[in-house]
Amino acid sequence: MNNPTTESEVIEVVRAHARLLPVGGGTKPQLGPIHENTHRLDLRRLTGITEYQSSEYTFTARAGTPLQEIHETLGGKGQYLPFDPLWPEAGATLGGTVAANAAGPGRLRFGGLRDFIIGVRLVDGRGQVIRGGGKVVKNAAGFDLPKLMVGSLGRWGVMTEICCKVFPKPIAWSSREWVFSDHESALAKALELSRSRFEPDAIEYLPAECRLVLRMGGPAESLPALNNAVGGENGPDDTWWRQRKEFIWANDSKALIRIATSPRQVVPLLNALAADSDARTQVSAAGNTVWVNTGEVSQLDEILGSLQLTGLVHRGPSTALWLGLKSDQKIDAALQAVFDPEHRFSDAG
Amino acid sequence: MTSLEGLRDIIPPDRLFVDPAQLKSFESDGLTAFKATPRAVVLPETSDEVVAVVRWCARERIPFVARGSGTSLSGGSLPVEDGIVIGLNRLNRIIDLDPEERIAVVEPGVINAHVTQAATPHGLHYAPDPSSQIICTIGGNVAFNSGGAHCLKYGMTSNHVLAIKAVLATGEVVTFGSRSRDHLGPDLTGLFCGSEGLFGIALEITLNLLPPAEEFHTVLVGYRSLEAAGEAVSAIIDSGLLPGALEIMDALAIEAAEAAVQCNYPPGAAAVLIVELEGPREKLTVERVQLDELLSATHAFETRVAASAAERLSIWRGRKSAFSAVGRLSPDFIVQDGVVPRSRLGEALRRIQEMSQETGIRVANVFHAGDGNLHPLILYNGHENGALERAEALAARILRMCIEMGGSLTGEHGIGVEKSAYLPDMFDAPTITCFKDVRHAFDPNEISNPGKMFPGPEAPALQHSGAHPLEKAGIISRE
Repeated sequence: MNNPTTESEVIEVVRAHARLLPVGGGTKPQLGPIHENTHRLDLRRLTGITEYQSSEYTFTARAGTPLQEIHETLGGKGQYLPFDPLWPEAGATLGGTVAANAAGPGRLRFGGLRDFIIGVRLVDGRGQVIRGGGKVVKNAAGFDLPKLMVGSLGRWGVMTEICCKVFPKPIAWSSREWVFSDHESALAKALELSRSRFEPDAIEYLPAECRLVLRMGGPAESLPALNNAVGGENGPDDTWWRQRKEFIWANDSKALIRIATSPRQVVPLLNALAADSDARTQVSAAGNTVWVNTGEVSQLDEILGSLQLTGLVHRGPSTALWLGLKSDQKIDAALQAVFDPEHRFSDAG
Repeated sequence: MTSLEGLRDIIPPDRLFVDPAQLKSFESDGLTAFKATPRAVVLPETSDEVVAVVRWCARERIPFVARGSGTSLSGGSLPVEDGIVIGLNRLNRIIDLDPEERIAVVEPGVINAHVTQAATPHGLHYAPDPSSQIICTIGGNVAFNSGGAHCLKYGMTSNHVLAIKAVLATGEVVTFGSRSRDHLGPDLTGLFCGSEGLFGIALEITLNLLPPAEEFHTVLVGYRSLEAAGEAVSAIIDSGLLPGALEIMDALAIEAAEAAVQCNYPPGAAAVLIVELEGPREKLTVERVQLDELLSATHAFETRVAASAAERLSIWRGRKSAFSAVGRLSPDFIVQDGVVPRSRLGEALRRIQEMSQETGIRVANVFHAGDGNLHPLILYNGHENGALERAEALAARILRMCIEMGGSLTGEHGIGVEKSAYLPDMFDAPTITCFKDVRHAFDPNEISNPGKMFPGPEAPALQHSGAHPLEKAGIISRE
């Protein structure tokens, strides 16, 4: 029963192992088990969309469901996941996406995982099923356990089923781009665009080329006029945006680190990273996320520490998971005692 | 009884009320059917004072209730008998407003609408708009994860909160989240929102601001039946349009609004639908044609498009007045905010009508149709023997219907005192145990807003009915 296909099998596996950690498609391997004696609970057979009515703007799927399957099903009804999850083509699952809070460029418009997850079923460390949230788009009943799962890295338990809100997918997309002479002016433009009337869906910055790229969706007839009004040059096509979520720009023999930033912290970080000639960087969501691909992990750890920033290693070789400023909340331990009193899932974050 | 001596060292006498006459105005909140008398009310002016009061309460094991403007419709800020009320209205500073990063950092007593007022000169606004927004505070919005008319597209309060600095019930001061819209690690900010004050008190709240939509396309449509209005909503949702607001009022609600504000809605309508598209003008030019064509294919008998900002406001005036207007039809009413799956709205409304006919209790309906959030207003006369109990019984049937249909007990008001008895209808025993354990992780001694959310002996009995003084004055409404 190593690869459960039902929730009751998940319960059995949880109860049978003193240390375990759920894994999905393995697209963010550094977030998975580190220790040899930790059981990898493979959820790739716990799949399937269990409910989907497009008129509700919601769907429910088992945690191991591949994002691609969800994309295809939603796409058939003209809907999509506005948080724009990462690594869909590499095989990422819905559960892993929630646990890693892995939102992509499109999160700029309507928000990330936290803004679209509305319900969760979870097998906790006691092997009990906990059910948080609900299946309707608006719900203020009980504590918001679905949000607590976002970014949890599997530490509270094994998510078995997840319910999300979805939106109608824009009919057509267009992209614009600008090249600047320095990071300051590029980031200033990014912020100007993010508070403009145009409601951009994505604003990404490629520091190596000082290139700022914007994406807008909408009715096809409206896009030429919007393109003119926004300015800039014609930007990249849909393939480029798809590949961006697969991180084809990153070197897999080096570590890939995600850093949560406020927009104003981006330029100082990029400047500090200039010392590492080896590092590749990408700035996402108008300066709210910086991705760094480097072999110099300990140097980055120091840089982040000095800038009071936190990084999380998603892929590639690294002995550390967290870099820079470490969170040290007493409440984390108290919540762990609630969800996982025997520390079955402690090999996470 | 513990003396208040320690408390007097923290809060000067002019901001510490113990006199029964002074305590009186804090006995209830927006849910006037309940009241309880606190031992004292304190009005701190700084977050240091709030922390000191909470630490004193933690040391003395005295329960406290944080309170903003007291507009909760679920009894969320009802005092605990003999506990302390911490009034936060004086913590009303906007600490930082950063137009570049689109962020406002505010104290909990800042009034919701004041955030948008402060942001407007910078071309920004704060999206969550509960109908009491001109008086309700951000602290209360966070505690109860308040909603409003734009939740389908923009989400609720928690979707606009980036970080929270709070004093937990233990006296510990913590910070969850940051100014980044990205976050690494579990989303404790999201967990804190909607925790109904059971974890502690938010001291500083970091809010996400958005540029307001450039243009609006607002349409008022009259239908001969509620079903026809419901079908129009389905057609809009299925079309791929994403309206900023989709609201329906039934005949009784329209009648009340007409009497109150002469909104001049289509005469003889059994239901009116308000649809509002919003966005950059280039997109609206295309989408408005799509919407107008779609509406003309429904069974509408009258369609009015707002041609100016004034006409838009006039359409909204009837809708916004509906709740206070219903107060004119009946001396008392109960309002609930249960949610049903949107596709079952028609069925839910039909069943509410049947229950209304069966019991002889009038029910007016105003609701956020886009997200299935009902607002049945159950009319009764509190001076009539047993009328409140009969209205409560009908309300209970409606709530249970929402759960049975796969919906929720509450879309935006929270569980509070009012719906705590129904929590087990929505969540199973292991989940409620988990909720209680989570509460104990933040508040091991159950001193922060006890008696809310969970069923139990802590909840006080119904004692009173009638409109809230602010409601009588037309300042707030129960929505």
